[in-house]
Amino acid sequence: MIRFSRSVFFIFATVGFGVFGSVRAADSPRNDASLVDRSASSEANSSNSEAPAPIRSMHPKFKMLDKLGKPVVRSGAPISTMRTCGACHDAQYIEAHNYHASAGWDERVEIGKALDGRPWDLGPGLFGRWDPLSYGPSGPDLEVRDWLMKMGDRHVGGGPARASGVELDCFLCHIASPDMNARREALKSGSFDWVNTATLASTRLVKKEVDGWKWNASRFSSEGEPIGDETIPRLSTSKNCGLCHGLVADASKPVVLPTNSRVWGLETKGQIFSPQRLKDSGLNLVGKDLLSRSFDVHAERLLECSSCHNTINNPAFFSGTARDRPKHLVFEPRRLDLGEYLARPDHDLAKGNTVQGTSARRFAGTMRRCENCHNPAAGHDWLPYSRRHMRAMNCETCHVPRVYAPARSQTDWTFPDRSGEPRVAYRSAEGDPHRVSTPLAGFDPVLLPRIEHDGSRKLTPYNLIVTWYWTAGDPPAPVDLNILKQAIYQENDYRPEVKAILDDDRDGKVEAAEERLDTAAKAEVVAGVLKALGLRNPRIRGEIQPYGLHHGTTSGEFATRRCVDCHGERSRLTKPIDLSEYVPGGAGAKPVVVADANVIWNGELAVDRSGRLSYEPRPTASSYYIMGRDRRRFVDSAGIAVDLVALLGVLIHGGLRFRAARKAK
Amino acid sequence: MKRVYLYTLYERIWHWFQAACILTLMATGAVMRRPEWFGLADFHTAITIHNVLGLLLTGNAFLALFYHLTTGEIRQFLPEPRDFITLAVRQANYYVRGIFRGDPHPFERGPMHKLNPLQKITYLVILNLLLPLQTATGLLMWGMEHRPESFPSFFDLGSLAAIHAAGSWLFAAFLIVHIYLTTTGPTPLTLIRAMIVGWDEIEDSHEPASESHS
Amino acid sequence: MNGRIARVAVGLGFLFVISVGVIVAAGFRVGRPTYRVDNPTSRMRPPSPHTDHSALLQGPFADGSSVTKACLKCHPSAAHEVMATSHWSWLGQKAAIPGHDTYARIGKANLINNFCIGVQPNISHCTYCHAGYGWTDVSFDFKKQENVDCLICHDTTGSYQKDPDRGGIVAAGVDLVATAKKVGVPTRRNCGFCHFAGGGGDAVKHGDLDGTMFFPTERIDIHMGKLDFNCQQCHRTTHHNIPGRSMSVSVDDSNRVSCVDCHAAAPHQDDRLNNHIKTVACQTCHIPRMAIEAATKMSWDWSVAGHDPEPGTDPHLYSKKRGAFTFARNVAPEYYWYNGSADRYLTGDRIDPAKTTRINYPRGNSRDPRARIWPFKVHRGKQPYDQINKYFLVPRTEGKEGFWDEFNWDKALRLGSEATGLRYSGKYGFAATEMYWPLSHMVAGKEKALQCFDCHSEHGRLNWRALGYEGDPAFRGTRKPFLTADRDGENAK
Repeated sequence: MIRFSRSVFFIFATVGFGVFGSVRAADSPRNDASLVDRSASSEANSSNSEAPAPIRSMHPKFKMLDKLGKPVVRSGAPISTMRTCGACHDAQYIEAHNYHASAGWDERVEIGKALDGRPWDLGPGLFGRWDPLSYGPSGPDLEVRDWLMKMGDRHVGGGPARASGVELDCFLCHIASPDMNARREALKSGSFDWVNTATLASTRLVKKEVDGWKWNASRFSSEGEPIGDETIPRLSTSKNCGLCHGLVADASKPVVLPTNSRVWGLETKGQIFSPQRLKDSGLNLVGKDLLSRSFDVHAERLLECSSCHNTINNPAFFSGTARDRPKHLVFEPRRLDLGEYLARPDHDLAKGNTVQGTSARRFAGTMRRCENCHNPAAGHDWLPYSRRHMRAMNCETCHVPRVYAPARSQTDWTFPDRSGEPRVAYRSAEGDPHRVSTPLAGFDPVLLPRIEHDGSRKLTPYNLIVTWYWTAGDPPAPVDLNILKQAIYQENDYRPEVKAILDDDRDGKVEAAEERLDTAAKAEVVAGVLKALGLRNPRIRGEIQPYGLHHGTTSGEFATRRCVDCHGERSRLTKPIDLSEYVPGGAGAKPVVVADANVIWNGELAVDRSGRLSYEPRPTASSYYIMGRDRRRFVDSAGIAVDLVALLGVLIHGGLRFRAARKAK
Repeated sequence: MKRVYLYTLYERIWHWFQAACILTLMATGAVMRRPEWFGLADFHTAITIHNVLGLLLTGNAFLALFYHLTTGEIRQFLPEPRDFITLAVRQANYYVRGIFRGDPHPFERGPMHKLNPLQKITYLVILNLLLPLQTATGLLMWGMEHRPESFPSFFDLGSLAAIHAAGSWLFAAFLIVHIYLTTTGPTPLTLIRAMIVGWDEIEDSHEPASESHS
Repeated sequence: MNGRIARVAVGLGFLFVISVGVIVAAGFRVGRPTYRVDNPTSRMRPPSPHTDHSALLQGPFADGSSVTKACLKCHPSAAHEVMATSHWSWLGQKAAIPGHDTYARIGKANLINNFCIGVQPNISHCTYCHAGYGWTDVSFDFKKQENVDCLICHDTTGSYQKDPDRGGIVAAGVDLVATAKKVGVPTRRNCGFCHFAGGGGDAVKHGDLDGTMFFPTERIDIHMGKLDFNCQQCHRTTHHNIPGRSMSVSVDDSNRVSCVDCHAAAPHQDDRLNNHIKTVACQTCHIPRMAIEAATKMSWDWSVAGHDPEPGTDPHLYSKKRGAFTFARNVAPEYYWYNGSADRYLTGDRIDPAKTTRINYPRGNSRDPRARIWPFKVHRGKQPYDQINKYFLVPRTEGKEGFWDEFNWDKALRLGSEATGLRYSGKYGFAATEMYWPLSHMVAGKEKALQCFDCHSEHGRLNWRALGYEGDPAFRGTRKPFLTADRDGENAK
């Protein structure tokens, strides 16, 4: 049955690719050895001349139109995707069925009622949920324009942004090389009307000149259709997704880390979606020669993001969700007509049940999970009690054994530097991860029980990021970074009272290691200044956000597979994870966990003598019993006592007998 | 001294098979409980052996029950209904005092009564309480690991494991005393020899044990 | 009554005990991880024992042949064994030549290539690499046992040398007694002496055989580097017959060395990879690059030879004697169907000088169920042909009056024609040729083998359409060869 559904899945996946005009069937031989004329060999060894020519794309030529429906090349106005793409596709529908566009706008709640427990949040989505990584905007008077300027480069347009002039940017996901930098610049400069036009900057259709964007008439037909095929839409590839979501790299050149910290998937999870083997990458990995696994086995096996995160009414993928399909059905054969799908593709992409993507929770679990493509029974006959293991854990627990790229562990906003940037710490990296020379050792994710759809709990690997920041007021809200900077710095130096308390070694200078509020006394001084600046009740708040690790999977060969990795004293299941080197506000301050994370916090936060904060999971507390590790200690103590008594009795008795026997002689 | 055929071949096989099973079960159980102390790499193997031997031990016990019931040998294990206490006290007295003085065993062993009252009560407890307890908890744990979905949640692996472990500690205590008491025959090895070959030399109850030396 | 039950119980008890062993053993098997079995070391032959010959061969030896005579005293059949091989005759067994009516013996002795072209006019120099003594012309006696050169393969001292100009006799100054005392099982040095230097220099010819293989690292070759193989561990020699087939001098598919001599036929853990085996040779993924360290010759244009080069010209790019070359290092091979047999240009075959002539060419195509995609080094050349008779000519290059002496093509071709018996009309030109060299050495382990995307991606290595596919088979399904199975493996040319 499973095999059948898989093959059908494959057929439909193939249809899906065909519809979008796959460019996979590339026809040009690429060979470094082509030192001499290859024309003679181009027909080499092919007796099969009937092979049809590869399909380029079935997408027709289209006119690029402005808001009024006039060809842009004539009007010179910015492109309107709603008009251009909307000429054939139901663009209104696509925008309305698109949580990438709504970004939580439709899920806004009354202030203080957000599920994550922050009193200043407006909802679960990108719009309205405070972003601890970027000190992101939130609060009751959040303006769409301000939000767009700060967060717009993580938003596809449309939804709340449409009113400000940023339409849903179809090109960002559906052309081969959208220009993210030009788009970002247009957003930052506030020229919202031109944002989607800027996305096309990498094509030859449009160019930014001193007096604004100019369409290149020579690249358009007289009808206003682009001549080249750079803008022929295609199924969005992983590279398109990577523009906002993280580091996606093919194997054409060694993968290297970005030099900034705005690559979210990498920053929060250390994940790199690439088929490349770790040892072939440009990362400075410890013991690199032996790391012959790829960054992600699904990337290695030619999957794209859209292979799992498909549009949910895509007839090539549709199977009914595991949630609402009747139990007796393995495969749902009823299909949406292809034409209808192309007119109204539902752009709510299938998603899993992650803790970080809190918007559009209503779509959680619409994605095919591991077991919907894989048959776990087929490869795990070596694993004792495999059903028990699979009931207790998600596949990722063993198949994401280690993360190699640096992921953030701490963001400390309590003591920003002069440019307002937080102090950030990373896992895996022994130093600044943005420097090529920093060795990367990798890190073991922490394993936490996750609450699944069906209410069961399964261990799942996570990265934890702790964020520290000042809040003030009533209801509390994050302190404005500019006010905070005023409280710490003046002119070219620190405020004297701040400097005095920071200078631990009394040498008159504040070294890098001293630029932190790691005691209650230091926090108090800054709090005092903040109060003097007019803030009420300034406090340091720490919060932990778990980030589920569902990418960066590896095949069985490299997965955790030794029994003792979990069944033993040094079990992976109870391995603590470091959160921060120090605790802002002193060891007494404990961070809180965001309330909308669907994981069970059964462990303990501990601060060791050097002030390091770590979290130790205690699966036993959630009635996990790990054979080989867990035991009721008193049973063994009592058992040893009983056995010792028996042994002692026997020895005494024997001794006495021996003595008696000697006497009798 | 007289030679008597005390243990039938089957009884001996049953006994030694059981002994081997229990010893191996205790060893593999130790690996499962403390893998990092007792051979890390063999965790998987230890579990396999433990499961198989557990089942075999259970099977062996049922076979023995069948044998003892059908041959009537079960009577050997049943305590005398009436003055059991008196008899047990007499045997205990022997262990506490008589044995040092070289007194004769209070009960003469023979094909019709192989066990003294203390043995009877001990074996009754071991075979009818401890062994079934171990079997039951072991099977339950195995079942819960194997088919977690078919067991109600009030079965808790942690508690089952604790009971199972406690049982094995008691088994260990029994083993210590049991092995020690085999040395209380005419010579320290007489009783073990009897359990191996079947024939025993039974002392004459009127003569003191004269060969006792160690 | 009791006794009978007791006996039954005893019987049951025994059964029980016996079943213990069986069940425990079964338990172990069930409990073990089930891996696919690929245990290549179990299928390897043990190394040949070494015999110390220092007491057996005292000498003195006047020449190479006298050493051979001494060998034959104890190994009386050895020379006959060698004489049965192409190492001696430079000809293979009789075989049908595809595209020809002939059923003939072909080999180095009577074929041309697109490197130094042919041996016949230059035999006294080419036989520097012949396992014999004194082959300087057609009068060489192939039946004479003492003409066999034992030492070229069995010398372990490394001091043995042959004279480069006199039919492969022992070079002056070689201490034959010392060499003979130290004979032993051939090492990589013995084989590599000729085979790593094919084409007249290190790494020139094969692309997968060069001097880095004398002492390779794992990066070069997993078998010889990591596992320290010598040649015979794969080329399992019996009675001096060394299996292994070079497609450059033979066309048939026998006496092969194959990966599955040692490895399981479906050795991967991943079924997806094992599914490739029907279509893809092991070498295709496991030889991701050729000429890993030493550059190999990729093209050779004879037509420009004979001019004095500009001062400072890189001799690897142009030489007066040989013409213009290109070399490449650590390059990806080219990929073609190959069913084990090959087409061959025979000396004297007609050509179309306007087209590229394939000196040899792998047979097979997508419809041939025996054919698999193989990696090839393709050597492209331009070499002299007879404009009137329309066939390739073999020049005399070596020696007095040869092309390398006088740089006179006409004379060199005329002298060559005397040796080959091919009529030379006096009008010559240069035509393009290609030679195909299937790769089997410089094997990489799974850590370095090709991955999916190397072929199945936009910029993949394989030209699917040229190979006869409708598109990338990962997305369009594999070839359907068996409906119109083309068993002859006829190729379009």
